[in-house]
Amino acid sequence: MAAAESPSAALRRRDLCSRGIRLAGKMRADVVDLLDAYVEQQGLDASASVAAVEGVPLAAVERWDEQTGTQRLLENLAAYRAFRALLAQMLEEQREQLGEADAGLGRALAAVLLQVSAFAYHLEELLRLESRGIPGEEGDEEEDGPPPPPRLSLFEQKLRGLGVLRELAQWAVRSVRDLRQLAKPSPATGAASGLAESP
Amino acid sequence: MFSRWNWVACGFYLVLSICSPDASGGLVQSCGHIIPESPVLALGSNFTALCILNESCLDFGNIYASQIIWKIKNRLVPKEQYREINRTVSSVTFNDTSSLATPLTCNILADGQIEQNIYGITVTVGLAPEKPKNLSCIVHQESRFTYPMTCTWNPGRHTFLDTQFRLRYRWPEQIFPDCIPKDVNNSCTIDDTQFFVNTEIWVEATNALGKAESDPLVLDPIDIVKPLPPQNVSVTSGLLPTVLQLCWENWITDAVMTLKFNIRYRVVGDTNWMEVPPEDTASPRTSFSIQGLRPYTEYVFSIRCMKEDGAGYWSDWSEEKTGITIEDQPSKGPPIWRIIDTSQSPACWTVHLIWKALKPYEANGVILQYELTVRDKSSLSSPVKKYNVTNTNHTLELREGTYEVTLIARNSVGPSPPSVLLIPASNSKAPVKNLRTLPKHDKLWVGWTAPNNYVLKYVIEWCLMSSSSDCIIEWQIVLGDVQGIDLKGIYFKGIKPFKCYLITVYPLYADGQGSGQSVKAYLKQDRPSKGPTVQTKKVGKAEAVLTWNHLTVEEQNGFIRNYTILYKTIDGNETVVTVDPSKTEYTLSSLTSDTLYTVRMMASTDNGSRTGPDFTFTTQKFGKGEIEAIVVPVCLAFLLIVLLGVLFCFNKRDLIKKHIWPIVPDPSKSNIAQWSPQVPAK
Repeated sequence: MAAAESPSAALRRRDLCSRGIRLAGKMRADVVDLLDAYVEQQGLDASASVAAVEGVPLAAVERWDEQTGTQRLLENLAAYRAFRALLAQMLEEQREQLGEADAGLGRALAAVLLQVSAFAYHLEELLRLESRGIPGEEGDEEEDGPPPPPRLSLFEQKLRGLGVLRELAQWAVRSVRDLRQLAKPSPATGAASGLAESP
Repeated sequence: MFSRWNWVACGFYLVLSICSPDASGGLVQSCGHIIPESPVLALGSNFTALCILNESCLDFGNIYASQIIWKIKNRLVPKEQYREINRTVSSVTFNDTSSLATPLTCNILADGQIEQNIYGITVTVGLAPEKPKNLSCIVHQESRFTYPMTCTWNPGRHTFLDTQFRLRYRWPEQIFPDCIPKDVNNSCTIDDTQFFVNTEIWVEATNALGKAESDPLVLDPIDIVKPLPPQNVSVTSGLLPTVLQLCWENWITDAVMTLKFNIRYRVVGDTNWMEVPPEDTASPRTSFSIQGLRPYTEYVFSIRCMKEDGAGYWSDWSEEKTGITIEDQPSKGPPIWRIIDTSQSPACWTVHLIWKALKPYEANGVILQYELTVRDKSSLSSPVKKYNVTNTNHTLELREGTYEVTLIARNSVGPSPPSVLLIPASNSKAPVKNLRTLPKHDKLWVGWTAPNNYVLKYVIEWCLMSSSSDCIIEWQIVLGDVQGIDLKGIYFKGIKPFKCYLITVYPLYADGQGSGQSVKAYLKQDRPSKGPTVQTKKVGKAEAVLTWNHLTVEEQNGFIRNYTILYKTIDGNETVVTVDPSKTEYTLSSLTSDTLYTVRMMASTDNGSRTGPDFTFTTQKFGKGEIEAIVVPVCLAFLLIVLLGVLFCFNKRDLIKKHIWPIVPDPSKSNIAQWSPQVPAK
């Protein structure tokens, strides 16, 4: 990316970042509400600790402040794409379990899924602005790569859902911080472009 | 076996072919058909229809395409529009479909000039949809978590056809199901909106003649939100009498959007709203303290909110809530005055102290009592008398002297500043000069010249003059720098026109009081309501003394400037005399004697006059002493003549006697001769 950014691109970046931040904020608030409803509906204990679930990207990362802008965007994009698939699966399992019985939870899940898709789109747009190619979905997702995971029991599905939602809430917080870093003016991106040259 | 099944199959087929209807269109075979069947046409375009006759029909007897007649709704289509294509096909052309109607029928003039219908089609004429315009959307917050978006557009001209409208919206990477309007064609509501993503929205209109799309609207729905107003508004009184605190709940979380507010308030009963400066409420909050309010006053509050950066719409005003500020000390002392009654004895006064209740914005609370302090200034040793009163007057019996009266109004917070009234032993200071009044439209202006510069206040008393009741005094205090006030009859009674008011002005000084100057005034004068009733007191030969009573105040309607006396005889001219209004008697002179006079009187004010009832009197034939003057001399003369006659008669009594009483010898002594002897003459 050229050191001198065109003013319209800078404006667009700022607009995308601010709206992304708001979207992540709302997403987190909605996921927290959804978590309460999920726990109650699935009959789980809210304080149950869930081990790291396979396939769910972790929000915590070492040396977060040393990351470049592009690195942040790519990691976020990978994570939300993963969540998109996981939430779609959860929605499917939900419908199988309850049919249309609990439309409320299903609708809330669908709304969060939409927000995750929207956020992923924001990230793709930001990457485009950085003149980076958007990595294809196949490269990051497990769908065509490793074989599909074995079918879990009902209880294991519920615990997995809990883990997914909790991690998504954490990711929302991290995304807000990442976007705020990105929204800061050029020196960060100048350094980023310098580092980004080396693979 | 095969043949048996064969027979069964044949039998079935036979039955079916007999019972099933003919494929080509029913039990009645039609003679032809029209192409196109049920067209939908654009208004104003041209259209050609073909009527194709069946071959089988032609056999029925000389039916050719040239005999075809086209009809619209039983109206014949002019033959110029027909064209015979071949023996079995006829066409009809319309240059402008606006002349078309349903149905269009193909008929034939068969043998014997009988018109027969061959086929008919329904023709629908309409317009393609116009491009929908003025698409606008708004997101109404309906509850804490639901945000339906309603979009409206202008559907364009009427198409005369069934036109479907669909509201379509999408993100760059996500397509959503279309919104189909129910019962209307110009708006649609999407149940739930996602925020923070640029959404492209447009309207598609489709009908049988075409499709049209509106210009797309690209927006982030968070920028077109009309939020719900703040909920659970509550008002609490603060510690200060000029402050009230407002608390409320916002039903939009900060995660969705931050809000700014407008707060408006008014006094209960007032119609004008005051607004808290928007700059003070331009940031997210759930409470606010409003300052600068009046103590002990009930206010009504209402709040509305919108997105902090100004994108979107203001919410409706919230439910109105009221609150009352706490009480404060009264800001002023009540104005106080006195009416002194010395009718009992000049040295013993009955003093009626009167004062006016404070207005709500001066009282700042409920006045619990008034505290009067009366100090006798002429005798230092006299104790100070205190009185606690709950109404607005108090009567005291005082000896003549100088007194200082202090009045304080007290509410639950504290006392008002004191009002002081000095009652001097005598009103010896300089009075006002040139007291005059001037009516001005509906107000009476009272003016005077200040006697000097040391006047603290003026007290103006006024009362309505009436002949039947006492003059009830109303009063007002004005500050000493005023040279005249518009007396419009404040407090309870207005100054009424045509009524006489007595206005008195007293100047009050720091150490005394001037005597009152009075003037009578009318706001507006009118002619008197009755004329004076005139009577005669004494009627003479050539003069008459007329007398009348002054009109009562109620009858006057103004200052009587003069009286006019009009009198005349039956056939004479009327004489007019003007009389000073202070008089109640007048003498008419130079009247003709023994004549019937009619007299009436007119009272005049500046605005007219009115005449009283007529009075008739007759002048005397004779003057006052005339009869005596005639009778007495006549009697005297008569008496004199009688006397003279008597005297004369006395003198000539012998003559009279001789004539009246001649001597008639006494017949008893009568004799013819007397014989006497000769008597010698001795």
